[in-house]
Amino acid sequence: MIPFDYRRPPDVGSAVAAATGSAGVAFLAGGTNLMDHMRRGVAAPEVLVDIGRLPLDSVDELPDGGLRVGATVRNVDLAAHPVVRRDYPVLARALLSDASGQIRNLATTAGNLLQRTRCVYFQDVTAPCNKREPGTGCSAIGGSTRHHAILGASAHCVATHPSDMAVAMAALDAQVAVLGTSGPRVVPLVELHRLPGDEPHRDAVPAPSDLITSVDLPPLPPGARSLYRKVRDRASFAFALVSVAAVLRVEGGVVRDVRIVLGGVAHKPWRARRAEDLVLGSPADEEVFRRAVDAELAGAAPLAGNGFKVVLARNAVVSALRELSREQR
Amino acid sequence: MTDLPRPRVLAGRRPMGTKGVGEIGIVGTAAGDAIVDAAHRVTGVRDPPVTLDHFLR
Repeated sequence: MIPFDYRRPPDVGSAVAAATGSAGVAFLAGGTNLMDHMRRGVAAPEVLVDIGRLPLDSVDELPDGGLRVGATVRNVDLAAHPVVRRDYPVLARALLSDASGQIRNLATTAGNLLQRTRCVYFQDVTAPCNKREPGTGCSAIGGSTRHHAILGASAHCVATHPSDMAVAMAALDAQVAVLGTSGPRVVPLVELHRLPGDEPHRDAVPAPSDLITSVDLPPLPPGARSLYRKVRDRASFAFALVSVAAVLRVEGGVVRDVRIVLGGVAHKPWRARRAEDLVLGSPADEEVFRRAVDAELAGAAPLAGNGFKVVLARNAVVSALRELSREQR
Repeated sequence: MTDLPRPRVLAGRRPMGTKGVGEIGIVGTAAGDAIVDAAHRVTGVRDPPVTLDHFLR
């Protein structure tokens, strides 16, 4: 067994203080990802800072009609929250397509956002991996790449971010509250995660000692519909090959609001801004949707084993937008 | 909780990091053939494994 120090600070301030200044520190909440990694030797933190019992587990309605989701709200509770079910179907569906019931009972909001890639080479301590051990090389490039990135990857890493919840939250323009040593700040969810570049060991922008305290979900525009569609190899307990979170508002046959986010295709939830720009203000018809997503995917660089993801992503986006526009005729 | 042996299989590395462990690998072969046949009957595609990428257009 690899020894580690366990701390359970009484408040968020001391949690951040406990995590500051030591390189081998990790926050522990649900533990559904970190415990696996400690067992497998993928992670070997010297200090665990347990935030699981801090009062960060409430969902509060905001004056503007939005929601503030605490960092340690369980995935199961968020999916079942009446306001999430009523106002953010994209999020409820994403959460319920994530992992399994048992895992959702433990997994938390912040932990879901900061979970690590399920790249098989990252999780196999006998394989070189730039994300796990910087500078050792990437085993996926030239290996099995069925589950890997088609957008925004680098020569150092082609891993994807595995979260469904984060993809939905990116479509909701969620804002992440982060507490660091220099105080609190807000990071838009679409900017929380990084592309791998030449530092694939860094998944997210905040430092390891920064603590996510909550996530704000602004209200959707009145009349907007949303959905989450996940395509995977099994109907349950499988990560997305491709997923789509979409928000659409159509008025008089013309698209007045649109948000499109792809999951399973990049190192972060992929907000398809180019496609959104082409759809916004255009007639809500399938040909427009197809041209828009083709423009977005023109930048795709599939690997030897995942060229099908380009077709899959295109079909999934067109199908999601078509379904949302049909609801608004 | 983390005090488990860490098995390592070093020989015979495959692209997925997997290694065969005997007859487990042939369980379900007959059922698999039936599924491949059924998928072929519907789509005209016979290209196992029966994963969605083989049926995409």
